[in-house]
Amino acid sequence: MTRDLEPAVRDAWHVLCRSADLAPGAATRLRLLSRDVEVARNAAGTVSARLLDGEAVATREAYGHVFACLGTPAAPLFDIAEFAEDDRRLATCGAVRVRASGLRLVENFLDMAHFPFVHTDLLGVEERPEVPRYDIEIRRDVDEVWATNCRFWQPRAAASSAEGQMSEYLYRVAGPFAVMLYKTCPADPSRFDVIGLLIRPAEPDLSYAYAFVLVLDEASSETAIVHFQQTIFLQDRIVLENQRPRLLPLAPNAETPTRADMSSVAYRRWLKEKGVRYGTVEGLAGHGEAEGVP
Amino acid sequence: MRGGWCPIGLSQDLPAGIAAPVILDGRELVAWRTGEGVLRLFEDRCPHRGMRLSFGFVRGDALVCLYHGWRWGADGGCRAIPAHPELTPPKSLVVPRFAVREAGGLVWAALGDGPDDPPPETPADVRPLATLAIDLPADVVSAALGAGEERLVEKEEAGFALLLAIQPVDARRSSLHVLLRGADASPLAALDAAEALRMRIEREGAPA
Ligand code: FES
Ligand SMILES: [Fe+2]
Repeated sequence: MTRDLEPAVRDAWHVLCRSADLAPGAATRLRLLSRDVEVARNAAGTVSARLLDGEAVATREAYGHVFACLGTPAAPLFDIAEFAEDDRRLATCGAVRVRASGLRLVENFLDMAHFPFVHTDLLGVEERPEVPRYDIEIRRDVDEVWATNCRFWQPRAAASSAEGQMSEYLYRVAGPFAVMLYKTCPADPSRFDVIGLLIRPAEPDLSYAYAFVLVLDEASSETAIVHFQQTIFLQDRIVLENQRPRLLPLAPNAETPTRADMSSVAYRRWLKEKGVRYGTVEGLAGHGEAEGVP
Repeated sequence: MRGGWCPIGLSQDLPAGIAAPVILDGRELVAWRTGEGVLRLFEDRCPHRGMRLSFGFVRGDALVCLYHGWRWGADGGCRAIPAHPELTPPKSLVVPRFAVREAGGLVWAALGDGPDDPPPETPADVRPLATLAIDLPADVVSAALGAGEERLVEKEEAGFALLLAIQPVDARRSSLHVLLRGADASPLAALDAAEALRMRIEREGAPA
């Protein structure tokens, strides 16, 4: 039943739901990669999942979320080392439904140039829109895309910050539908806050986004942190649902990148190399459910 | 392709400094007017990352994309890329443009090159009333109004002389731009008459 999915997507780990959304004894049905998956937690707390036609699928529980792989896992679930540091707090933001390709969500997350316009006076100001040059690399050993030495002027970079700062960022694409960033922590400039975006691609052009924040922020309440992230993400959703086409084009001339889009260019190249088609314009013919491309 | 003129709206609904989405024959377009009043029709898709430009805003003589603030001039060319303030955008960086004209309170557009002939004239004594959405394809609406191939048709309705411009939106929907003839007629009562006409078209045109 999963044979028509390309290995790069079929054999990767994808988020299913938050751990907290699945109580002991509970079961729920979710859509993943155009399939119905039932995920359950038994009385002892163990999570399992299966395709509705019967086959069991591999699951992992980590980072406050439940993950599944519909094929044979090509690698262990990506490691987020900061989860081992016990002075951090985790806030999960739950599922936000977005009518767009999950790959478009990843690209939006990697993008600093939109801060002054979409997150005006929160993550950027219109007077300081410049994106200084940063570095980008595809790390072959771990098969991840990294953007380093990213800097951007921010008026209020996190729930805990009252004034502006030059924020420093590292971006990490850990899977086709999993991305995180490491950002100067306002409370302790020698360390980084971690913000992640895990995407459950339900259909090629329909996604559920699970954002999490792993912070050193002692002052802000979890509610305040979640609320800040949700404000940001709802602003992004307006853009994401109104990009045309809704699927991500991998053809180099389909859109017009500039230097600030180096991370998006590298991400698209990486997807193409891996043979990712789900959620792309090029994969449209292979997956019947997507809407037409204008 | 060399399409004829199609009505896409009433001039009064597109004041200076406004950008509005338009769907014509299934194509997503944006009509916008500079601060000085120049009307333009672009593809509703920013060449940068595909954002619909109708979500953007007009600043002076440019249309600014909501996503990353790229500025598009009335000639379709990119004027500025905020992420790179030092960069002069290349001349080749343009949004596709379409022909747009105004005549007698109506806005007309043509996909493709734009015809040589001007759009149809409207009588001097018309006043714009409103745009009505109809859940039927334009050819069904045209047939119901006896318009034939014409986009503009005059119709007597409850004693009012209505001028109706038919816009094909997509395969299932159309818009009716309504103008009223005669200086003495009451626009509010005429609007009621137009609304009744719309309901009759929908009733008669609905597939059984
Ligand atoms: S998509 Fe329009 S400026 Fe980026
Ligand atoms: Fe954003």
